[in-house]
Amino acid sequence: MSVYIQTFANLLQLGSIYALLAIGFSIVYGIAGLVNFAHGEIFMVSTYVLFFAASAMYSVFQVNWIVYILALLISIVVTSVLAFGIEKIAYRPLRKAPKVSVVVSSVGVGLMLEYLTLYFAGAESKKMPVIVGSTALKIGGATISSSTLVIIAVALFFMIVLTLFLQKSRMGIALRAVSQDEKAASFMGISPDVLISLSFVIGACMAAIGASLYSVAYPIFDPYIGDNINWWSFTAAVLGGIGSMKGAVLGGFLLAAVNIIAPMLLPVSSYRDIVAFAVLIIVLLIKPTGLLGKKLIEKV
Amino acid sequence: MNRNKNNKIIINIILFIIGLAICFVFENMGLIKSSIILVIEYIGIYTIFVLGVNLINGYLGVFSLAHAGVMAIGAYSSALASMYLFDSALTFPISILIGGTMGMLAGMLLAVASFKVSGDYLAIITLGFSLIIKSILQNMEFVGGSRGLRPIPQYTTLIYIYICVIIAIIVVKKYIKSKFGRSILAIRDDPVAAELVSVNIRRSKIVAFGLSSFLIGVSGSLVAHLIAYTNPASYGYTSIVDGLVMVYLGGVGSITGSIIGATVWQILVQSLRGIGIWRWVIGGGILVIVMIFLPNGIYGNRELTWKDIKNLPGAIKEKITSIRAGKAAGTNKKQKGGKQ
Amino acid sequence: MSETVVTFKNVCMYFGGVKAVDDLSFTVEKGKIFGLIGPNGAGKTTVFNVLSGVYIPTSGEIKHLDKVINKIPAHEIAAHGIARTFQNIRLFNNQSVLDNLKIAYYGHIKYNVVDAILTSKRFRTEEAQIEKECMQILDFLDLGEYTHQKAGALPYGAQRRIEIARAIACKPQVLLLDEPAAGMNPTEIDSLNNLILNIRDHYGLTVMLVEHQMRLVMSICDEILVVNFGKKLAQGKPQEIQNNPAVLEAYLGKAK
Repeated sequence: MSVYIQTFANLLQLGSIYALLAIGFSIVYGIAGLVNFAHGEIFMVSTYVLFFAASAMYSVFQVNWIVYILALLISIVVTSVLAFGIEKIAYRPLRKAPKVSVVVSSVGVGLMLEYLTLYFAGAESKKMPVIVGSTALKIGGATISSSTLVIIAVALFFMIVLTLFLQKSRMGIALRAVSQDEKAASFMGISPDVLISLSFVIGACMAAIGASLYSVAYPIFDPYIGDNINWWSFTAAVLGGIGSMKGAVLGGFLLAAVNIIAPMLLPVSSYRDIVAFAVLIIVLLIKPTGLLGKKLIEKV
Repeated sequence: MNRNKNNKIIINIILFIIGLAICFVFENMGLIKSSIILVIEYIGIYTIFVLGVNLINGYLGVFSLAHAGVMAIGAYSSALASMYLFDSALTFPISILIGGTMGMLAGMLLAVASFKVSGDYLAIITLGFSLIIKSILQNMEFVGGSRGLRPIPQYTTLIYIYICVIIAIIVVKKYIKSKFGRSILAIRDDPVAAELVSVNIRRSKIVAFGLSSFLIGVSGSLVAHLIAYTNPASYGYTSIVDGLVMVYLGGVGSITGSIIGATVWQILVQSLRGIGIWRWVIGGGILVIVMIFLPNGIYGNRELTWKDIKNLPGAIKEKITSIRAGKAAGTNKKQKGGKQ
Repeated sequence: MSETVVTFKNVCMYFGGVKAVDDLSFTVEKGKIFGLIGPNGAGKTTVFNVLSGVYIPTSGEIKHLDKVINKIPAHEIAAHGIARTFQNIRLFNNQSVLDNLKIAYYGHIKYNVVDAILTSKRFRTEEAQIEKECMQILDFLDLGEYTHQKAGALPYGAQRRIEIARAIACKPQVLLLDEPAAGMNPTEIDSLNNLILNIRDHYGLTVMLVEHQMRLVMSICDEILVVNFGKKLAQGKPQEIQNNPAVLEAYLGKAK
């Protein structure tokens, strides 16, 4: 019984993180129409920013919570500025170009981020200082770390905040409008340029928040983690249907389930990736637009 | 008319033999540094690779990242063939063909995947394909796992590469001039219209992916037998990005462009080995800059013909006059061939 | 003499709740010019789309000559003998005009990949034949000067004719023209009128025409089908249709 609770808790934790990553990726796709291959690298950069900010502040403030929140804020700000800058320099000039161009450009951007970080921060793995202290809690006979609950709670909080923003605020409604029809949104008086930049900033925020939570659960990182993050974000988002927020959440938890359960059932844990890929193929064979994705009928 | 054609054929054969002789000289007479010969060999191998990638990413206009995985399949299958089945230098062509064929089979599977799945999803699936192949190879102890496969007999010579390149170029040329080549260009421009003028899109894609992957598989075979070693790490993001840079830099939908892309990038990479990671920053930068300023690449959607070479002096004079006249001839952003 | 080339039998095309085509039945006779008219949104282009295979009808049967075609893929329908043009021109813009036509031969070419790569005799003979036939079509439609130019760069009028030329290159028995007179002035329409008749006679085709320009429809059509809300409203000779009160009522446009 306790094993099930343990597994379930891990599932919720990993699923929440994947969901945030997938949401960040999906928002950019839904609004800017871009498969952003730099998503994982933005995540990676925000991890490094978090690391440096936290390490610096730890020597000043001793209290965990203050350090965590301040470091997170710094990370969010830096990451957002970075994403905004990337959009302006590498993506906006390609707004009118065929879709492939901007995807290729994002591959280039991701590459540069990865190797510039490698150059400036070094290739060795670093360990994120423990900012969120974790105590062991006993729930139903299982030992669950309090940090797990914190991660789930924080992720949930930001997902709710984002949902409210998209549903209620003027900007949020405009964002949803532009994902359906770019011209119509411009009639609302907000330029699509602003909205697309905004979507990148939101995507970056999700990445930064996701990074901060991820580093609590998995504190070791290096410049190469972006590749994996990319793959998980894409897979989770595609599973649920790119461009759909609910899909991103669903896909995130589904992927987490696969990644946690598969190693438990397979002889070699490194076959986990293959299982995840197989699940992706199977889902796409049945529903080519993802579980909650919409079908587009082309007008002839 | 026929005499002109015969003349052309004779000239081509003579050029071919001259090329062969040059290769022989380079290889055996020690007139050129072996490091330079190595670069030439890489240029040749990657020309074949880029021709393959270009068929899908360029001519057909499908954004695929599967080329790393296909190259891995070609490399490993041909290496295993040479190591265990056909272990003589004389049977090397058979190993190459095996590498090409295994690649081709994988490619045809990918073609089937492309039927149901749209562009963006397909990009992700093809990425997954390459990553999974790498993952599988890392877990297969039989082929050395992460440590790689060695020792692979070193059968690749400059002459082999030369012959393979010439064959590859000829094959691609004929393919493009046939109904199959025409059909993928049509699909790139407008798949719905293509289907309505009787193009069997599925069959067309299977042939395209098949030929593309065959070429990529051959390039994998050649490289494995060149450095006598291969490992899964060579077929990750490195290889994926290399393919993209060479195609988009050199020129989409063009044989000339493929050669240019392979040449420029391989020279850059091989000569800047000491620069290490900056190669990647440069590569990434090239991708961004090419997309913004030169979306079709250096020689996209057109070919260098003998006429162009004859007209070269005139063209240069023209360019100089127009630059002098103050007109910036390069500000016209050419859009890529293909809508949406 | 009056052989039926196209048959629609109780064809329905529903998109969710929208009944784009609703229980439509009609036949088209060989060699005739068959007009399809109706108010905007009446379902005319949908009829073409179902016929050419863009959509599979929700129910009903479509026959071309003696073959039931509502379940076979679009490219097979095109190869079998139904070719079309589009409301918004859909040429292969980055290909030459000649190549645009050659592509239409895909379904008729017998050589395979090996033939192509080895440029066997079969390949060379077929390709030479294709080139000859395409040049003839271009010549017939007065497009010779554009042969090697990129289709996307040409004037609108030429592009419309190239689309027709490409459809002819499919070697069809039935040619579907979707609003070929769009954006034309009366002189151009008269030219088009003659062109369609010439094509019909020269190539022995049956022509189906979706059109809003009544000047063209009334002058050229042997038979007219009027649809509204996806249903058949009337069918008959131009004279009958012009005087049909139901048609006049549905149609807020006037016959010129």
